[in-house]
Amino acid sequence: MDELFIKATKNSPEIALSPDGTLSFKGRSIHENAQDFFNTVLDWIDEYINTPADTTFVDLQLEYFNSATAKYIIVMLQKLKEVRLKDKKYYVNWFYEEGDEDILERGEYFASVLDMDFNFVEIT
Amino acid sequence: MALKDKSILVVGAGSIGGIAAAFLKKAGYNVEIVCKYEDYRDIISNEGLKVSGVKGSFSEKMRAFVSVKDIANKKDIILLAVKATDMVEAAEDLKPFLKRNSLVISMQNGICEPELGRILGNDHIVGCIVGWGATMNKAGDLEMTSTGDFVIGYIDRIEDERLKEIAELLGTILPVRITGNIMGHLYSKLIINSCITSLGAITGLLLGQMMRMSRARRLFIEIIREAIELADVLQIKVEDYGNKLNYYEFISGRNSYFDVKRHITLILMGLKYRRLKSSSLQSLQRGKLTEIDYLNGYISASGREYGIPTPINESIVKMIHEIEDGERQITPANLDEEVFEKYYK
Repeated sequence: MDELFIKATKNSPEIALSPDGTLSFKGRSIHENAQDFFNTVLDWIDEYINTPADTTFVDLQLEYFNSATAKYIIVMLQKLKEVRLKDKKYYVNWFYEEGDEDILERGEYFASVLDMDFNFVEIT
Repeated sequence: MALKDKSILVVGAGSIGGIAAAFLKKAGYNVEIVCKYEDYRDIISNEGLKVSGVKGSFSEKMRAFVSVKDIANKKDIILLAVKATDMVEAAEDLKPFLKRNSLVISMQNGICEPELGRILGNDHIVGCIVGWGATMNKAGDLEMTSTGDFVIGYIDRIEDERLKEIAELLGTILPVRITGNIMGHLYSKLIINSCITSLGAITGLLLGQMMRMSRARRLFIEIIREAIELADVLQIKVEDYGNKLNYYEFISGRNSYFDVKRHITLILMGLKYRRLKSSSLQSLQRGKLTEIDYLNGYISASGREYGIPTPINESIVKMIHEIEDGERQITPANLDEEVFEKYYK
């Protein structure tokens, strides 16, 4: 399968998804029409989880995101949990700027509702 | 008579009543206020109500009384902003002070309008949703924490000039919408409060902490389901909450696809309002009674009256009364009660 790379705009994050198992989301995500934007990503993930890499790294480095984006983060991570069914591993790295309690709390919230271990990485 | 010449009484000097009174006084209306305590009365009369927050800071002095019984004359417009638990007594006290055309704006949480109508007559009652937030930092120090609007309407008839006058009056504070379906709006707010406020009170958790738990989300869904089934029998068309949550769509569909959708909606709500603390929880922690009888209690009492089972709402009412009576602890373990178990499967 091919890599998926979407360049950042002022309203959407940079997305780089690689079949070798590195899935990166970086920037801000305040899409008005998040559905169209994230459907491409979800389609890619649907294909990826059929033949995932031995280890999947999900790097979420979002400086701000709206509720519509939050919904797709949940759906996306929920899908990625399925790699475990194929005896593969995944790691979620949640990046937050030093002092940005809001983004840290949001990550903790996602980890809790999805019952996933996140690695919280402070950016100084 | 011009609106500015009308006599206005605000009953209840908590955060909502106090802020409303201060804004109206500032705009030049003839306002008096009833608070409960003598020391608070003295603060309002001598130093004034101090308002701060999202609509600026100012203070306004006005005549204040500790009881409705102390006021001298009949009033044209009354803003009733007491706790729902004090509503019946306040309404009884107000009876002698109503003119033939007086209007009483019901600003309580929960659905109090039918009961107010029984005491004072439906002709006098204006239903009102207060869609903005406020808190009292200390006596006389009030903060508007969020803006929003008012929704007003009669419970038994369409709008008229008098209602438009009330809209003009409240419009001094924040925007006002007039509706022909005030019961639908009141019920909509009642449902969300019956979930957020009451589950927060029995668990002791902030909304974000609560919505992390699938059991809390499941009860949230079942409270809504019971309330909407009852609304059909009561012939109330429930309005969307905050123009966003359509309860009918929310509970539609029984299979796992719809269930996942419901859970995601609640998870997102929990994320957005994760620091929200239940007002009933705050009351309990201060040793005060809650307004549960006007929230889930309204649902369970109406359910009994019309023969509609509302076991979840009924159990929550019972639990909160037990907490009020000191017979039950506030703890997330309350979600593990046997009565709820079958809803978790």
